[in-house]
Amino acid sequence: MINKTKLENDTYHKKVLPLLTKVQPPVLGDSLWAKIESSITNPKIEQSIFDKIISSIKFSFLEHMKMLSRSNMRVAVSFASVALLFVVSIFGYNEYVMYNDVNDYLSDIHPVKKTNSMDSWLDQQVQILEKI
Amino acid sequence: MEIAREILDGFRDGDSDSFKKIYELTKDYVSAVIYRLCLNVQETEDLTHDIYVKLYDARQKYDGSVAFTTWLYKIAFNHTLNYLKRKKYTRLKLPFLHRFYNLGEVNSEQNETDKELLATLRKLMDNLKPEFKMCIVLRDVESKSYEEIAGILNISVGTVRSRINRGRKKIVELYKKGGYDQ
Repeated sequence: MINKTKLENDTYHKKVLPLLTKVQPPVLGDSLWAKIESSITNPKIEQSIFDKIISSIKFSFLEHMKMLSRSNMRVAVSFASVALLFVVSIFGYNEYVMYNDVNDYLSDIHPVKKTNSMDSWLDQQVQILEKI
Repeated sequence: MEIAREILDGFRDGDSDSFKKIYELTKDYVSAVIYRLCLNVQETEDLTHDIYVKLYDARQKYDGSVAFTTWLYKIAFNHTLNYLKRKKYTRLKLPFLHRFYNLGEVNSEQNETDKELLATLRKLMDNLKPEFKMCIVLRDVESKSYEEIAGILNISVGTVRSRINRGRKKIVELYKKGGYDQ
């Protein structure tokens, strides 16, 4: 056990650490100071509203994703699916009501046989238009 | 490193020249630590920029209870630590975002030896927890004492010791696993 620890220490100090110390950090140019100075003197110019929105969306998205554990993620996905289904149903129902309203309206003007088939409905509308 | 009283007073009053002096005195140390943690020039520049802007915004909060440099390192290294945690998270959990932002790319201007060294180090360091990485760099590369590291990162000395030991073990394990030991 002691030998293993000693071996690990030796590997670390003789082989891994020299790699870390060998890395030469970059020399930061004057342009960075100019950027910092402009950020502190004109904080609003530095970041446009669009950038702010994008970065806040990006960060809140990341933060929210971070908070969601795997099980919570499943709940979130199920919730999103139900919400999507709900929206699609509402949209579909609206379309159906509108179709019926138009059909009723046209039938009032030119009474024709009511039908649920879209093709025959269109045929009827064409006939009505031809009569007009 | 000591920063003169009048520079600190000027900085607290929002004097740009005093802030520049502080920047000139401390930027090399701060950016060197950040670079050893990120191993990327662009990220180092961005983080250094953000840290100094943050420092300037927080200038009124410095109460003089600790040395100014300790306070600066506290802001700098905690900001970097948060960034590294977020980066590790995106790399593991959201790889598409990681690729999109091109995080962890080797810079084209570096020569082949540097590229090789950086690629090896990146393979070792990227798989290390950011907390371990930070403690290892501050202790083994920057020669900070356990107490100083504990003060900077706001953790106990025991936690610093444990993170350093676990980090060293993990990095040796990765080194052997990667076949660099031959």
